[in-house]
Parts: sequence; structure tokens; C-alpha cells
Amino acid sequence: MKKNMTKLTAILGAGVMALSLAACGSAGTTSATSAAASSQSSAAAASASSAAAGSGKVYKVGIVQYVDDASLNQIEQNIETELDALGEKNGVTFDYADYTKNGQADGTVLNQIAADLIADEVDIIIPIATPTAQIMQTATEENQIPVVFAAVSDPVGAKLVESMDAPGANITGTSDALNTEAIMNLIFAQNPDAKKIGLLYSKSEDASTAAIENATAYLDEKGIEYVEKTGTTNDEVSAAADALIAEGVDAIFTPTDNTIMTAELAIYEKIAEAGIPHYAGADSFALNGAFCGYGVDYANLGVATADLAADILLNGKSPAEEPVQTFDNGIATVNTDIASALGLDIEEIKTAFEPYCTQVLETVTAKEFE
Amino acid sequence: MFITTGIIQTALEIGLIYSLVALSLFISFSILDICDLSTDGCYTLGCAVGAVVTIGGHPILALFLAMAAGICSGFVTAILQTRFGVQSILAGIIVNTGLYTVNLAVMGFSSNLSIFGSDTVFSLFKALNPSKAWGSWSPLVLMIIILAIVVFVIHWFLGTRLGLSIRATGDSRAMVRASSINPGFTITVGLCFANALTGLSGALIGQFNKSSDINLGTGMVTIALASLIIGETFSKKSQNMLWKILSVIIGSCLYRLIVSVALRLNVPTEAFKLVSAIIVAVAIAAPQARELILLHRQKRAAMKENLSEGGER
Amino acid sequence: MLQLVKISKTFNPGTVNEKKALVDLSLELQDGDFATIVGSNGAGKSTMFNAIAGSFYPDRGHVILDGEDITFVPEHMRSRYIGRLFQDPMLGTAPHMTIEENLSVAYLRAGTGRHAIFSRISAKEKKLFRETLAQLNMGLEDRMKNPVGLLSGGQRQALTLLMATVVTPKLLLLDEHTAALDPGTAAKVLDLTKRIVKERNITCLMVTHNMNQALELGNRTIMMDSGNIVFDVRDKEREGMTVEDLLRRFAEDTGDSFNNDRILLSTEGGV
Repeated sequence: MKKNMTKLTAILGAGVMALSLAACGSAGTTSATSAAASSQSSAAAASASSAAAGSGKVYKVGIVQYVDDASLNQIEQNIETELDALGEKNGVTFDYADYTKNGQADGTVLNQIAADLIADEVDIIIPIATPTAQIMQTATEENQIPVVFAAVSDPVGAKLVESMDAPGANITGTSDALNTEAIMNLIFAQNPDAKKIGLLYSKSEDASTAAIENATAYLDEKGIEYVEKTGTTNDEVSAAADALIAEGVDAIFTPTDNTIMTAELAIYEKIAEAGIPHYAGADSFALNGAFCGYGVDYANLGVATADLAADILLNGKSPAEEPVQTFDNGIATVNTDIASALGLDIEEIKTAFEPYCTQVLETVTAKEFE
Repeated sequence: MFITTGIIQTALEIGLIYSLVALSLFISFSILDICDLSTDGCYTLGCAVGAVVTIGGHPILALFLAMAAGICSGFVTAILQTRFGVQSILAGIIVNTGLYTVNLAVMGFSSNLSIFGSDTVFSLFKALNPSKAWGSWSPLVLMIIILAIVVFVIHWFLGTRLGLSIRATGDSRAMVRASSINPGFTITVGLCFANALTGLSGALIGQFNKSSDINLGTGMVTIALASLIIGETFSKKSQNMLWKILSVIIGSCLYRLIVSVALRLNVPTEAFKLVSAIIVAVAIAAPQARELILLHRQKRAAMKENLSEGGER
Repeated sequence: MLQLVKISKTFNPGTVNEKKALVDLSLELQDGDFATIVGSNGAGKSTMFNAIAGSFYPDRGHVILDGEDITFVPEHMRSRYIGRLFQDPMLGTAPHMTIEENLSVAYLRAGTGRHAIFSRISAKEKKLFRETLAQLNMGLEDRMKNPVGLLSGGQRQALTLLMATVVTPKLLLLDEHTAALDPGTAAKVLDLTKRIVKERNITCLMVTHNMNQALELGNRTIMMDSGNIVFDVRDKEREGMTVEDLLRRFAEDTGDSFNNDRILLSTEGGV
């Protein structure tokens, strides 16, 4: 038994040593950010024009990210920036730096992240993406900590809320549900003669199911032929893209699919070389080489999520009554590099798209947003 | 407070649920010496089947049907190896790949199912007593009860003639054949049993999280293997089967506790996998390292002796 | 008891490595026969054992045990009636399980054991194992809870012999089972073998490379070469034979001289 105790101590000791080494590294950065945050709030206090809300109170905000990816990261950054801005404006501090966690796509860790945040007594939890939101829902069932989710495509289907207008419990948030019809309109606006449309998505993505159903319904109604190819890993997506190119499709459509998003940088070149425009449900796709990204502006979504969270914390609103926010997809982002590669004139595209969206932005191929 | 009871409770609850997968690997890997890579898919299968039946209003039946699903999965893996001569690693991979589609189908071709709002075994157990303390501790108590039953069954089973044959199959197949036992049969029984445990674990995590996701099982086999290895360092020298079984559970809970501590220390989650690897490496290497140090000391003492003797001459 | 009718087996047919291991081999073994088998390497002795035990199915021919044709019966079903020991002492036992556990797995061959696969080792059975082990005079009955991996080669071989005979088999195949042991232990195991075979009147086939042994043990000596039986002497005819006679007969029947050093040298003062 004594030997076992030594072994146990050895393991725990090693574990703690390894962790404290890692913690030293991260503690360095967190103290730097909290210093920045506190200097911000002191600056806010110094600027005398604040209204009565300048209480200087610190709210603990737990942000839980599911996995690293351009769109989800964009949301997280915008949430954080907006929280800072709101904090400054209202003379309070939203402390998220200490409570931001990333599940690294490992579902087993999410339960413990939840327990960790609850032990930290956070005032509000902001989970990003559906699996994260579901686990936070279960974790806050008892203690009813408010939860504001970001980027859940079907909150009612995922049983996170009772209805979009009246969530009914401690959970509300923002939804990135896609307006599929609008994208389809764009496809045919640019190429009225399109006869065959390729649908590229991942069956394991909860967000894609509804959007693809809408797409197929739209195409059936119009009597246009379509081909579906799916993949769950980068290699499979690559193979699926090859298959669609071989089928000779006139355009490819992808909804807000994280799996395809991760693979976009790997497949955009061959799709463009084949002369096929790739339409996708988020601007981050266009950033990574798709022809056009039309969908929810994730920057906007992040900001709105932060606004919603601040509203609940500062003004005591109840999540049960705050409706889930959806976004009118208004902005089309076109990748000018790809447009030239496809031999399309950017001005003609803008004209074609005009009736269907509020704005057409341009971007070039890059890995991350600036 | 640094470590709250809430954190320890969650760590232990999760640790106990995952220890079922570690126990499954104990049977297939430690005892039968088979690398069963279908664990990931089988775990998700258990979760999916459990979720569907729980939504239908039968949370307890869900656990049993999940185990039955696990048995079917294990059966296919076993048949591939014993009848069709497929290598065990490949058989596991083949079944794992196929299970992806099966799991999607079970969930109605949706990648995510929510059980929120339906009764689960945890909620039913909690409802037995309205006090707040019970509400807080009941999931852990339920898991301890379930684990106790499972440990008893495993220990009893391994002591029966069939259990001994299964143990012998992992040790020496030639001996088993010479004793008139069909190794194909024992492998099949062993794998079915192991996969039933994996399915049960999946169903329990589904009811615990109130959701079932198609990607849930990814990487499960690695985590379970790590728990198994950590646990085995405690029981390597022992012949006592009960202690071997319990040490697997301890390994799983210990792993989860270390993850909790890591989270409290704000270790970035990106580093978790590296931390697990280091911990497992230390666990395996510790006894060897100790011996190396002893040997080094022995060498130095011997060299000192030589030198002093040589000096005298 | 045992009939081998024109057994033929070729390994890797049609390739560069083709080997005609057994060629129209026929053998008849009577109840109670104890036959020793000699032959140079590659003669087909182990292959013949494999054919009898069921490790492979022959290309042509039949294996008949007690009147029943078992040519295509799988190995694990044949081992109910056919016990086998190998040269490698490690092969017959499970090293991580205790002596007691090994014996009880072997005991599954008993009719009653089979039906009760969920039964546990009873006190009566433990007593039986203890008594059987005591007969060995190796002190193993006091180490029943030790893992078998800790035993020496000789002890493991003795244990394997016990396991093969705890339920009396119809036929016992001994494939040079003392060859890897030191002379003292080898003698002990051989004595044990002789005793058990005599007590229970077990029909036995034993491969040996020791020519003296081949002529002294049992009642019949068979010599094999190139996948077939070259000669077969028993009882009276065998009694007066010496090792030189054996070698001469070999040369006459095959036209070759016996050229295996190990076998020839082992006749010098060997056990």
C-alpha cells in the first residue's frame, strides 16, 4: 500500500508540476490582460462624463468556445471587443479574460469546464455553438445562471429554448440560421443558365441539415438538378469536392458548415480552376477562397450577443423573456481573387446581386480576418 | 475557493461514467490482448440508442438497449476476426467506420439530439428525495451504485469457467485450443461483454449531458486507454483480480481530477492533451526511473570499491 | 484406435517453397500402443502430429479415431480426446494465470465441466488438483496460487502433462517434450510420462531424437523420412534391436545413410 501511495504522490506531483509550468505561462498573459482591463475601467472612471451606471462593478463572464475556426473565432473576438466597449460606456468591467475556455472539440472536457465556471461563480455564461450550449444548459439547470448562446442554428430543434420569441428559462442567445433561399437567388442571379448545382456539406454538422433541406426544396421547385456530396474530415471533403467537379456542376453551395470551413483553404483552388463558383453561408468562406459568402455577418452576431449579455447583466432582464435574435442576412462578400480566376467582372456581379442583398463587400484570399 | 465540492463531484461523476469505457478496454485489451478500435463508434452508438429511447420515455430501458446495441457491435467485430481472419486492429477500424452511418441513422440522420425535458435515470433517482443535499449528491450516488454492480458482475464472471477461458485466451491461445475450448467463442463473448460496457457508458453520458452528438466518441479510446494505464500502475504487482478492476476505476477518476486541477490553474485547454500524455508517461516510467536511479547508485558504489582496492594494491 | 489412411500434405504448392511434407502416409495404431518416432529433421514427424491433432486439414487422406472419421473436425474439438505436449515448455500453459486456474481450464474437457461454464472452481476440484500435483513430487501443490510464468521449464512441462491427462485422453502426442530440459529434469518428466501412460493405459505417440530411448520406451518404433514411414518394428522384432541395427535398416530402406549429427551423437551415454 505504501508503494501505491508513493506512486500516487509521484503522479499527482508530476501532474501539478506540469500544470504549474503551463499555468505560469498563461498566468503571465492573464495578469497582463486584466491589467489592461483595469486600466480601461480606471480610464473610464477618470472620464467624468459617465452616467449613473459608473458603479465600477466587475461582472464575471464565462465564454466557452467549442473549437478553433475562423467564424467562431470571429464571434469570440467581437463579443470581447463589444463587452469592453460596453464596459467602458457603462463604467463597469466585464471580466472575461479569466473565464474564457476552449473545449478543443473535446466533448469530455466540456462538463468539467462547466463545473469550473460554476465554481468560479460567474455571472453569465456565453457558449459558442450548439454542443457547448447544450452542456451549459444541463449544467445550469439547477443554479439557473443566465446563458446567452452564440451561433446556434436551430435553438428550438436543439431544445435550448421553448420558442424563439419566449425562451422560457435561463437561456437565450443569437442564432445564425441561414436564409438559404437568398443564396440560391444569388446563384441564379449570377448565372441564370445554371443547370446543375452541387451541394457540399458535412452530415455531422447540425447546422447544415436544415439549410440543405431548404436548398433541395428550392431546387426541386425550380426543377433544377442537384448533386449532394458530403465529407466529415478534410480528406473526405477534398474527395467530395473532386467528385462534384467531375460531375460538372455549374455552382456549389455550402451552408454554415464548420467542417467544410476548415477544409476550404485546401479545396478552393481546384474549385476555382474548374470554373465553378462556390457559394457559402458565411463571409469567412469567402475569406478562405470561396467565390461568395452570403450569410450572417458573424462580427455583427458577436456584437449582438455581447449586447444581449450586457442587457441581462446591467438591466436585470430575464433570459426567459428575451427573444432569440436572428439576423437578416444582408451582406454578400465576394472574393475578388476568385472572381478574376473565374473570369467574372466584379462590377457585373455587383449589379446582378444588387436586388438580393443590402451590400456587397469585397475581400481577397487570406487566412484570418484582420 | 480553489477546489469546490461541485468540481470534485463533476470530476468523480464523469470519472465513473468514463471508467466504464476503461473497464471495457480492461477486458478487451488487458485480458484478451485485443486492440479494439471500434470503441469510439460503439460509445456513440450507446449514446444514440440511449438518447432515442430516453426521449421515447423509457430511460431505464434505454440503458439496457444501449448495452444490447454494444453487444451487437462487439459481435460483428468478433466475427470479422474469428471467422473471416481479419486482423483485430483492422476489424475494429472497419466496424468503427460503419458505425458512423449506423449512429447517424439511429439519430434520424441528424447529427445532434437533445434529451432536455425528458426523464433520465439521474432525474428519476434524484426525485426519490426532495432535499437539496440529495439533489446535489444523487448523481454521484447513482453512479457508485451502477459501478458497484458492474464491478461485481465483472469479478464474478472472470472467476467462472468461461471467464477463466477468456483470460486464458488472452494469455495463450495454443493452450486454450489444447484444452478443447474454441478461442473464437471466447473472443466473441469477451468482445461482446466489453462493448456492452462501452454502450452503457455512452448511454449514461447522454443522459447526464441531456444530449447526444455524433462526434461525441471521437478520441474516447485514447482517453480510456490513458485511464487504464494510470490505473494499472497501482495494480501491476498484484494478483488480486478485484484490486485490478478497482484500480481501473481509480485511474479514470484520477485522470478527471487532474483535468479539474488543470482547469482551476487556468491551463489553456489546448495544452490538455500534452498534459495527459505527460501524466501517462510519468505513470509508466516512474517504476523504471526508480530502478535506473538505484542501478546508478549501485554502479557508483561498485566503482568506488574498485578504486579503493586498486589504490591499496 | 488411430488410423491414418494415405495422408498427403503439400505446403506452398506451385511456388518455389513447395514442400511435400507428407506423402501417402498410412499408420495404424492399436489401443495401448506406445510408439516412439524417430527421423531426421524435415522427415515429417511434427507435421504428422499436426495432421492428427487438427492444426491443418490434409490435402488427401483420412484420419480415423476409434472408428470415427475426424479428418475435418476442428482442432479444439479434437483436443477433447487428443492430448499434446510440445518441445517448448512455454506453449502448454497460460503464464499469467495461477496453477490452479490453468488446471481448471484444462479440466473443462471433462464432460460435466463443459455444461457448467458459469461454474467456479469447487473445493472438491481444488482437492483433486492438489492430490494430482502431489504425485509429481515437485512441491507444486504448495504453490497452487502462484502464476505459472514463475515456474521453471521442467515444472511447466510437468504441469502441461498433468493438464493433458487430467481428463484421460484417448491419444497422447508427445513432440520431443523433454528435449529442452536439463538431463535431471528431463529424466523426471520422462518417468512421470511413463508412469501416467502405464497407469491409465493411454495410447501414445512420442517423437524423440534419442535413439536409445526410441528403442527402450514403449512397444513400437517407427522411423520416418521424407514424409513417409520408412520402417515400423514392434514387440518381438524390436526387442533385440540395437542402435546400429536401426541405422543399418535405415540405410537399406532409404538408400541414404542417416546423417543427423545431433541424433547420432545423442546416442552416446544419453538418457
